[in-house]
Amino acid sequence: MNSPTVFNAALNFAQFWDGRAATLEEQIDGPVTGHVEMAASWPEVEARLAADGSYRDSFSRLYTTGLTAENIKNAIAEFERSLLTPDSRFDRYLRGQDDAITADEKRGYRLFKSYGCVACHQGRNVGGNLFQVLGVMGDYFADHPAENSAGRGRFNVTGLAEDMHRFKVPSLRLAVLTAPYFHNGSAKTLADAIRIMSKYQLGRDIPDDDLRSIIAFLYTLPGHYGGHSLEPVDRDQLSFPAADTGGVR
Amino acid sequence: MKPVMMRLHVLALLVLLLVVLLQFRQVQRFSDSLAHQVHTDLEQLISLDARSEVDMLLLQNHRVSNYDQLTEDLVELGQIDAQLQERLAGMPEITGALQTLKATLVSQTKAAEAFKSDLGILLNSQRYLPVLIGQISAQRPELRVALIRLNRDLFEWLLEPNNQELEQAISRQLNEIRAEGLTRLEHHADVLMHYAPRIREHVDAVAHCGIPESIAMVATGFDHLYDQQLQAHHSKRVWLMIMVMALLAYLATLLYKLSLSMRKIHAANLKLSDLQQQLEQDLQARTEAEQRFRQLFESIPDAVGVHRDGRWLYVNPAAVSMFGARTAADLIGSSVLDRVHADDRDTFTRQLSSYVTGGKRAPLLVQRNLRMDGTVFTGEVRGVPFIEAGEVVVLEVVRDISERIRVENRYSKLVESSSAAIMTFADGHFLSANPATLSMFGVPVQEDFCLLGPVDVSPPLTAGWA
Repeated sequence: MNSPTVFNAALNFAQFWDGRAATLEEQIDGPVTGHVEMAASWPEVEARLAADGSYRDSFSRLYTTGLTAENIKNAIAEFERSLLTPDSRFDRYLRGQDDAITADEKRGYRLFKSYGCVACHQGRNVGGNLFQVLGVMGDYFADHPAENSAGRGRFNVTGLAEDMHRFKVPSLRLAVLTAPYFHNGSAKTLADAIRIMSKYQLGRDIPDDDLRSIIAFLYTLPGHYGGHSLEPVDRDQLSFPAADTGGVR
Repeated sequence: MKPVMMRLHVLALLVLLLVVLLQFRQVQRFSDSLAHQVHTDLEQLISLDARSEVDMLLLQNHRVSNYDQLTEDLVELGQIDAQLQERLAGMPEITGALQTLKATLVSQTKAAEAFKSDLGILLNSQRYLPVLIGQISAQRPELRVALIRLNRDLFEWLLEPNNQELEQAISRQLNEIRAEGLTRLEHHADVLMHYAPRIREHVDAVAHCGIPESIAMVATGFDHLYDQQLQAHHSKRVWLMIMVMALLAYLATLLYKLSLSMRKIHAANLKLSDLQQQLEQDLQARTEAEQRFRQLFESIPDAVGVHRDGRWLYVNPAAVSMFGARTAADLIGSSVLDRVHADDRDTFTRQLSSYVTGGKRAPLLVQRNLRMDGTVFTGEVRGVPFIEAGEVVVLEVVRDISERIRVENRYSKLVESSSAAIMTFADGHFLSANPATLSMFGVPVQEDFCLLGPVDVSPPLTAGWA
């Protein structure tokens, strides 16, 4: 599994790739009790925190019911709600600062829209507000067999055939910083991810120049956290091997 | 009011107060804000339902920014429904309506979420098809006309989805495309043909899932229930008022009874105060009388003492002096018999016993008494018994008659030795006669002389007396 970033998770309409948690509080259960993660139990967590006087005091001060599993979840969720990365260059551009992004990045934005990426990756989190089947225009899982049940996506939650291989569309705000990509981390770079998306979701080819412009646009999305810009200085994702080209069929 | 009655009244008062408090709690528990909150929730649901439909229409018109809005509206719909379900959890009468509402909201959310997914796919192909047809036409000009016709038919069909003739025509064209090996075009056309009806189904599902009807059902059910609760609440309020009035009336009655009791107590206090005043006056009079008696006892020459169980309790100064004591303390507490001559003690003891046990006043007793230094004096003694604090005490009065006896003895000797006839006479009889008288009248013994009358002695004498 490819763990999604916790930054801007508060802006997602559901949590986890399969959206099994509707809120951040529900999401916290997963990592804490999951066998492959912390493999703990809430009574155990409560006991450990209660052994520390400062935690006891803080929880007693902040919550009328003191240190409880629900309050611990809420405290963590509240912290996660503070992990936002606003004021990106693209945000400033949308607010009217025309020179906030370069001409190439503007071109990337236009391509992002015209190629149809924006059909799923839109809104304040540039994604994170709908579920989508992976493999609309091609059978992704025939070409990339699932290694485990996580590949079934939302089907694991609803049991509905129509939800097979349906995943939460991830946010692209920090995409340039959070490789690898997809639920299984199979795409190591943004170029790989966009090419797979263009093939299996959009059913079209994206020339390398356009791809580079789209990636350049994605570099405008990281905002600020703690007063510091998260935009990387090195734009190594812009360098990628050329794709095989063929005619339109 | 008797204490038992008072306790009963207090108990009854407490019970009544408890009943009033319970009723008050029931009345207070009713909140008319619930109706406002429920209707606000329902109105919000109506508004969000309508807004989500508008969001969907705008999204169909390529307003992708409405994805966020639609997502938020759906989340808010779920939250308000959960809030409403919680508010109305205690009303089993509308559980059915609430479940229906929840089911319609779930259907609507599901359809809307599917709409969001499918629309992205549809719009992508819809947007890409003209581009793709343009690209293929450039590469294969012989297909240009057919492709343009296909493009036109597809978009016409999107506008007229029920046009069967058009649909069949598109199907034929797609078969031709398939034969030409234009896989990508075929895929995108298939997407259009497949997802467009789905989108319409989703829109229909959202538009006709029955949320307004479900909301109306909940509103009607709640209003009916609320009316009933309101009537019950009014009834409870009336009962509360009656109970409060009863409590107040009971309190007033109790206070009236208490005031009556207080008046009685006040009157009794006044009487008691008079009695106390009387008692104080009596005590004062008694104290003054005691002081007068004490002054009397202190000033009289006779010895006065009070003894109990044979021991002196009080002696006056005359007694101190008479018994030759230095102070009263020398006598107080000592035995009464110590001051009685040994030869007279038996007589004294008998007499004391007779008036202590019989309670009678004793006759005057002449007895010999002992002073502190052991010398003897003769006294007339009279004891007066009386009761003090439940016990018999004796007031003893002693008069020293030693001098009188000495004078009497001396007079008697003078009469006996006189040559003159001396006799005593009273009530027509002679009481006594000296030896000279007996000799003079020739009577041998005095007793015989006392039997004589004046006429028996001599006529002149009788004449002289007459």
